[in-house]
Amino acid sequence: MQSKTDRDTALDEMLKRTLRAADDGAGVSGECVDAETMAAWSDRTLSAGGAARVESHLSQCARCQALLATLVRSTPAPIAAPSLWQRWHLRWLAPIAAAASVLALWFAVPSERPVAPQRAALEDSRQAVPSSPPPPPATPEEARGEVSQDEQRRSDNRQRAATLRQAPPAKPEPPAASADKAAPPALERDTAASARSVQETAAAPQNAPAAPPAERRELSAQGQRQTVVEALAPDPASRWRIVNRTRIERSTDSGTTWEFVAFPEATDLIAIAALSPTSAIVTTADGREFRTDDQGKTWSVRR
Amino acid sequence: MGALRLEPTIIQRLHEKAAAGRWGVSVERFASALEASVARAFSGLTPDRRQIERYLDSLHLGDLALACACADGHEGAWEHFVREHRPVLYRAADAIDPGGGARDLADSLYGELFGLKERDGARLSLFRYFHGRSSLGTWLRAMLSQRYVDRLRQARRLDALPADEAPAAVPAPMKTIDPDRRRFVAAIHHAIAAALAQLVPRDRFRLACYYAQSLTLAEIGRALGEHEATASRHLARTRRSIREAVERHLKHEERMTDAEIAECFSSVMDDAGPLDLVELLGSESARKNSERDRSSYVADPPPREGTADRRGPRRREHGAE
Repeated sequence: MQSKTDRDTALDEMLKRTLRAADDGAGVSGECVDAETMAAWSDRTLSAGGAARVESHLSQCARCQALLATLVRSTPAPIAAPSLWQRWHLRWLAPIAAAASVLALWFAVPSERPVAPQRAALEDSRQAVPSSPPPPPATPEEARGEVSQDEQRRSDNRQRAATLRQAPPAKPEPPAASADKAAPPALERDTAASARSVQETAAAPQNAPAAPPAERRELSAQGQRQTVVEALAPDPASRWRIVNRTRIERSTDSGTTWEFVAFPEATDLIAIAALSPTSAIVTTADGREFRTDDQGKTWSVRR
Repeated sequence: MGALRLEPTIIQRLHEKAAAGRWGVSVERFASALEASVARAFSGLTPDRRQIERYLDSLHLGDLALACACADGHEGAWEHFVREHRPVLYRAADAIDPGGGARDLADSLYGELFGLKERDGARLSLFRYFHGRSSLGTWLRAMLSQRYVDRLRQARRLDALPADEAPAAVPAPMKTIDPDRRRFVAAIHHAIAAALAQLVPRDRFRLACYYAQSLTLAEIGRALGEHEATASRHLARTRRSIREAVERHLKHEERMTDAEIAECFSSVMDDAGPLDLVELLGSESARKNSERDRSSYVADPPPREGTADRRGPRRREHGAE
């Protein structure tokens, strides 16, 4: 019993022989299609009636079939339309979008943390220090306390981004914190104008409300590491400290509360000496010493 | 259709659209080319103004202006043609015959385009046959294809018969042929011819492209302006309808039983029949072998270089049948 496939195979053979025989014979039917008309038919510019006449002739005339076959073979294969992803302008979409996101994040996130969350974090870290040992240093340089300035800034940025992410979005930000955010770029970009900015920002934390307990817990859960260099003044209630080698803070109640003290340069701070509740000497990484005698409102370079 | 005069405003607009001034083609010269094109397209018809305008707007005007300028011997136009279109011509020649057999045709065509022939002291360029109905590139390839096919067909007619002592000239020993088998083959030939005659031109043309001209499905699709999967489906459907028509013909016209019909199909596989002229041409044997693979590709496609992407859908399609 033959299957349909067997019959189809036989039919293929028959069709090939029959149609080929027509091609090998005279095979010219009526008036042949000239090359110009064939080109127009191939470019689909003929009218519907004209195209139908050509097709009707092509179905019977072996010579014109051969002409068309040769024409088709001489046609360069069409270039496949590039997929959406392959189009050059879309191919760059992802990298461009990623770069734009990074830039937007860079400008949107302030270079200095809001005061309240930072203070909460510091308080949290201070409270956490006696109960648990500090985490091991990530790198030997950190272990030696020789973290480079760039690494320190990157660490600060990560910490800052985490702080912002964890802050409740619906909660309105304290006005003092906003003022604080604006200060650091002024310090970096325009040293001459820094004094005014510093004075404005220095007063801000005093009026800032205390950080909510929820924030404090989140920061504590994250286990962020703070590098704190603290100095005691002769008066035991007066303390000065450097946080993360970039930030100066002052306390007049034995470290219960800390207030931000603006520093005129964005530089690496490595040591601090507390002289009194109003005076302190800060040493920068490049060896210079800055002194203040008015609670950090103004600083003078000693050497 | 009498001598057609196009409106000057239309001619001026098309002249500007074609940027014919770039090649120094005057408005009058371009108007004569446009009128010749309209006369050719509407030969024997009387088109109205809208039809003519629509037709004129569909022309490849830039190419038509270039052809006019080249026919007139404009140097800049020729430089442009040589730079842009001559490589197309040679690439087409190489595609038609990778062995370089069509290169001389391309050279000869190029010479005729330049107008090596003269009549009454004036050059006769082949460009006068270009009417802008297709792109210049397609027209050049069509001209080349026409010459190639005509040469091939002429050479086939002039092929010398083999010498009497040549092996091909020696007739094969007569096989004992079952008279019933001869009847079966004749019947199925007749049935197939009747089925082919019932096909619409496009289906018949598609079959001819596939079986006689050995075009691939992609090439057939390109020729007919359809996707190769569509061409494949049409071919399968046409073949199925032919098979059913043949079976019907054998059953009702030839009064054959199912067993005899099956024997008919078997006979085809065993006996080529009187129409197998290809097999008699020794030079075609290699081509025939490749086409046998190609033919079975429709029924159950074997692996073939460069067609892996096409075989998948066909195989599924036959499975569905």
